[in-house]
Amino acid sequence: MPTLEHNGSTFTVDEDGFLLKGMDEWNEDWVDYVKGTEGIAELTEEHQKVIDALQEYYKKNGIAPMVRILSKTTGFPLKRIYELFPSGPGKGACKMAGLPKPTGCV
Amino acid sequence: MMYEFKVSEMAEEFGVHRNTIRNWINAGTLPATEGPGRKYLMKFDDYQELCEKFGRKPHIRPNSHVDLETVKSLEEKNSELPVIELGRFSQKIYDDPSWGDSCLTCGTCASACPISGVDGLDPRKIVRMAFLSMEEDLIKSDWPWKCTMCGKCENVCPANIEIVQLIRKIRSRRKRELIPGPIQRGVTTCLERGNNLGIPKEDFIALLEGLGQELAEDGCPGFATPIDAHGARILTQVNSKEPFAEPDDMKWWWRIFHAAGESWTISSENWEGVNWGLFSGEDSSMKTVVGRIVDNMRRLNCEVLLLPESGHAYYATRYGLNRWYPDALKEFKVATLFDLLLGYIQGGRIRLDQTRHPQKTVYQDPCNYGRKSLRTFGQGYFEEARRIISSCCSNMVEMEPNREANYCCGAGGGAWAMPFSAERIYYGRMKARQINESEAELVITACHGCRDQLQKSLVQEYDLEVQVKYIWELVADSIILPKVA
Repeated sequence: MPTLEHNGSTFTVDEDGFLLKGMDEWNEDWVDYVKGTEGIAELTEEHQKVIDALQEYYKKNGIAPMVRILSKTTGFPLKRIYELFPSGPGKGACKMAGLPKPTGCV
Repeated sequence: MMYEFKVSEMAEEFGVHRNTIRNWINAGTLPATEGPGRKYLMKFDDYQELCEKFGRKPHIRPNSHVDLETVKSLEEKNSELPVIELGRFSQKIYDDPSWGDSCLTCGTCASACPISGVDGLDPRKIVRMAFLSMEEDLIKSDWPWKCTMCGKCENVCPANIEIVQLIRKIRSRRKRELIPGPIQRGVTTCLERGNNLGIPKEDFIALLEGLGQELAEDGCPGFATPIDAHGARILTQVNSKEPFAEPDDMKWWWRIFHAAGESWTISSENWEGVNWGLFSGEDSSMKTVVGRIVDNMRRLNCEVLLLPESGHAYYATRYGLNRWYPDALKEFKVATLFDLLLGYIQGGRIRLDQTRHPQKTVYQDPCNYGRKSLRTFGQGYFEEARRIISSCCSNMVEMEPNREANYCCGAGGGAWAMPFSAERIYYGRMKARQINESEAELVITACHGCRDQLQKSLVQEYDLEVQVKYIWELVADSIILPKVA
């Protein structure tokens, strides 16, 4: 599997560019790296809130939450989540949070 | 060997009048019989004899014109090429002649396939490789995973080679951990948790109830989502992507059911309609997922099964029912969304407003409901969709080609979830061209895969100025609901 380096950290990624080892390899440098690939201009507290919510749910349930749950826990409407993560919660946000790629037709 | 000639040519060759040749033939001096196209056939030996009689050299030589010396040097050259070992049948990837033996190598399949040439491969080469027992190369290749299993190749094949089955068989032979993208994880998550995305039961129920309340406040008074309603007429399975990522999209169907006064339900467990075993080539998981749907039908005592979902779910489920659960098909009916919607419209159960969609509208035939269902089940859905759309739109046009010959959107066969997005978009260029040529402003499809590929990918990649809707979305948007007091 390919590895990549960013700001001195090394990451193993899968063929879709998600962290292969998930949150074990996740750190601030990864967030900064995904920010670039996702075309996000500036990271805000709102992004962080989405990341925290995703990670927390994933630790508890072993999967990413449905968007409605993400909206509820962060307080952001779906539209706002798409503004924060243009490629969507299933792709960009999960990638940034170190979650695996969702395993459905999303 | 027979020699074919025209009377005029023969006459010229031997310096006699045409009638002389005819007289010879009639008299039997020239032993020839009449063939097609005002030509005559005679044995080459007789022709040679005739030539000798006239002291002429035959103007054709039936034996090989190839210079033996030239051939010899070529043979020597070829001995440097690696020899393909035939007959390594222990690993045989196909076990039916229709999977390769009868291939004419004509290449019609390759000319029909939108990704011919990608990775240097095409359907014809794949069939030949299978025939030549090149199993390892086939299993290792990503091409069978970039193929959308659309069946366009099969549709044009003059020898009826079952290329799609061959592709699925090749996929089935790859080690499960080496399957591209999240396909295999989707299969195992579905087996372990009842749906591809692993959505917990309580989250799912809470979502359905919440959406139901919203719908009740939005034009459908009294609506409540019927979860596990025993004895409902219809059981509808769900594509997990909708509760996960696009929950509001489920309301279109619910709105139609409400307007039609339908008796329907959703199961709280094993409600997944998606069946990725079709894509991974794994029959056992495919069978399990179909079996769960049968269990739901029996547990909830429903009469009609609806898969209002991407074409693959309908195809995989119907295929699985035919193959593994033929008895279940005596207990309940499988309805397509077309049967159901058309029934509502023709039976007057819903009323539609044609003025809401005046723009030029075109239908994208999904492979699974059309071409593939026709080939597999002997029943494809083409005209039904057009009748439904015409009930909602006044200006319907067609893509060229359409119906059975239509091009896949490029996202079939699991391609939407797989990591080969460049190939998926390249594939979609055919669809983009068809849409542009149709000059439509609204594209309607009956498949989740087609909708996502068009709306979320091709529209941006090819600068298409179109709106994309599901056919049930179009119907829901056209419904005339009774005024709320």
